[in-house]
Amino acid sequence: MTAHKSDPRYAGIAIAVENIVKRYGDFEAVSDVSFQVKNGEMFGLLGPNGAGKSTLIRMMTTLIPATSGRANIAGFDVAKEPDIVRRAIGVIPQALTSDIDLTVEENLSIYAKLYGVPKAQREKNIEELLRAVDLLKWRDAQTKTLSGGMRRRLEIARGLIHNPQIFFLDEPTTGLDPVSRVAVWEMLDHLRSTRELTILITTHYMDEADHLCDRIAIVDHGKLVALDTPIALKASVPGNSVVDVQFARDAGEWRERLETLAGLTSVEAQSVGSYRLHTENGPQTTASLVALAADKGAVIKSLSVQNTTLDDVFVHYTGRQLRDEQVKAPLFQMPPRPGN
Amino acid sequence: MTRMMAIVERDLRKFFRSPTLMLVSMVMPLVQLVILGNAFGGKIHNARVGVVDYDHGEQAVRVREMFDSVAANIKTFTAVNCNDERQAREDVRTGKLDAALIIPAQYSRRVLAGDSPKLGLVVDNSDQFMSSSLEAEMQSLADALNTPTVQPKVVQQIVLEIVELYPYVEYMKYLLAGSIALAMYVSVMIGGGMLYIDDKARGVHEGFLVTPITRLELVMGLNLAGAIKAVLSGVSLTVIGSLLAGLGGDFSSRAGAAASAVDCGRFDCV
Repeated sequence: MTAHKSDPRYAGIAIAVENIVKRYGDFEAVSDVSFQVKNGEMFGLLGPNGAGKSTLIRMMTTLIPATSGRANIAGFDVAKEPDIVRRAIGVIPQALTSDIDLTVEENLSIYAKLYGVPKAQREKNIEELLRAVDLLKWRDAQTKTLSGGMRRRLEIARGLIHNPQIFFLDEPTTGLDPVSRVAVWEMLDHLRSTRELTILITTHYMDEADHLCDRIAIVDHGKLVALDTPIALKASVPGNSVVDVQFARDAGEWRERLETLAGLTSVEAQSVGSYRLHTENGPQTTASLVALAADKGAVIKSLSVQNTTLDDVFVHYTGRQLRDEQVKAPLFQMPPRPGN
Repeated sequence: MTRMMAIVERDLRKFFRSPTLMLVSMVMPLVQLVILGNAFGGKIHNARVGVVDYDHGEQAVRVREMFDSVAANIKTFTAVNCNDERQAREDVRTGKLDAALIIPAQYSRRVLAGDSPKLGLVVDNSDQFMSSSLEAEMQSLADALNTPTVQPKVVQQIVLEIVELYPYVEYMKYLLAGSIALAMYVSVMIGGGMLYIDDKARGVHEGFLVTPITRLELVMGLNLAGAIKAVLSGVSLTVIGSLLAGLGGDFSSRAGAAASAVDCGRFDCV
C-alpha cells in the first residue's frame, strides 16, 4: 500500500476547485467554477437558492461525482482518494441529521466511531467539543429535547469530532432564530481562533457572509460571478450608500446646502427637515455633512448611514435581486461516489 | 366537510402522482390473491392415496376394485399399494401420500356378518382442502358400496371412519406459527425497511456518507440491526405466544402422543 502524500503543488491551499462542472441531463447545476481557499481562511459561497452552492459542496465533500473538472482537498484529489479526503474534512449538511432518539453524547460517540477515533481520544474530544459549543450540561439529554439552535451546535461539534483540518457548513444558520444565529457565528469565530481550521460556508444570508467571511464567492445559476473580500466587493459597486439626516431647524435652506456635499449623487426631501442623500461614498459624505452642520451652527437631530450591502453587490454583478428561485436540480439522489 | 375533502384531495393527488406506489399497492394484493387462492382452493388432481389391505377377502377386493375404477375414470387420485398401516401413516405425514385407505383385518367377515364393518381413511388434516376433498370422495365410495346392486343378501352398513393424522389443535395454537412469521416480517418491514427510507429522506445518510464509512457497511449495518430486531420479536412472540396459547405443558405430552400413534396402528390390531 503506497503511502498517501499530499500533492505538493497544493501546499498551503486547503481547497482547490478547478473548472468543475455538474450536469444533470441537460441542466447544468454548476458551470465551470474555479477557486482556491487558503489554509486557515473562512470562505463563503453566497448565492440565492438554486444557485448550485449545495451541489458544489457535495462535490467537494465526495458525495457526488463531478461531471468534469477537479476538486482538490488538503492536497488530495476528491475523485482519486476520497477516503483520505473524508478523514480530513468535517461536514455539516443543510438538513439536521443528528439522531433525535440518541443523547447528545451518543450522537458524538457514534460519529467518532465512524471515523475510527480511538476510545481515549474520543472521550477527550467529546468533552472538549461539548464545552466549545456550550452543550456540556446537556450531554445526556435526548437530542429531540434540544431546540433547533442547540441541535445545530451539536452538529457543529459532531463535524469536528475527528479533528479535521477543513470544515464545510452548508447553510449553517438557515431556519434559526436571530439569537441562535448569533450564537452560531460566535461559535464559529471562536473555533477558528482556537483551532487550525479552514472553513467553507454556503449561505444565502448577506449579513452572515459579510460578518463571518474573509473572502466571498458569489454564485448564481451555477456560475462564479464574483470573488473577493466583502469590503473590496462593496467598494467595487459605486453609488449605493444612503445617508438619512434630520435637522432640528430647517427653513428649507438645507436643500441647497446639501447639494454641495462631496460624493453626492442625489438628494431627496422626505419631510420637514428630513433628507435622504444618495452618495458614492457614505463615510466621506457623512464627514463633510457633519463639518458643514458644525460650520453653520445647525443641530443634527438624527443621522444614519447605510453603506453598500452585498445585496447591492449581487444586483450589480447579476442584474437582479438575491431572491429564491425554483429549484431546478433534482434533490440529492446518491449516484455512485467517486472512488467506490 | 370541505376541509375533510381537502385532505382527501391532497392524499389522492399525491397517490396518483406516484406510479410506483400505485403499482405496488395493486400488484402486491394480486400476488397474494393468486398464491393464497391456490393454497386454499383449486381442484385436487392426481392425489396419491395409499391402500393398505389387511383383509384380502372378497369384500376387500370389492372395495379395491371400486377404488381402482374411480381412480381410472376420474383421475382425481391414483391408488398406491402399501403393506403396512404405520408406514402409510408415516408417508401421509411426510407427504409421500396424500391419504391412505386402510382395509382392516376381518373386514370381509364383518361385512358378511353385518357387524359394523369399518374402513379407515388416514388424512393429513393440516391441509384442510386436500383432506376434506378426499374425505368426501371416500364417503361417496362408502355410500356406493352400501348401495345394493342386486337384492341384498347382506345388508351393507359400511361405515367410513376418518382417522385424522393430527389430533385437534386449538385455533390459537394453530395460528401461532403464522403469527411468529408475521411478527418478524412486520418488524423487519418497519424497523428495517421504513426506517431506512425515512433516514434517507431526512438526509441522515448524507451525514454518514461524508465519513469514511462505505455504502456497503452502512447498508449491512442497517440490515443487521433490522435482522436482530426481527429475531428479538420472533423470540418474544414464540415465548409469550406459547404461554398464551397454552403450549407449555403440551410439549411433553405431545411427544408421548406422537410416539404412541406411530407405534400402534389402529386397524391391524382389532
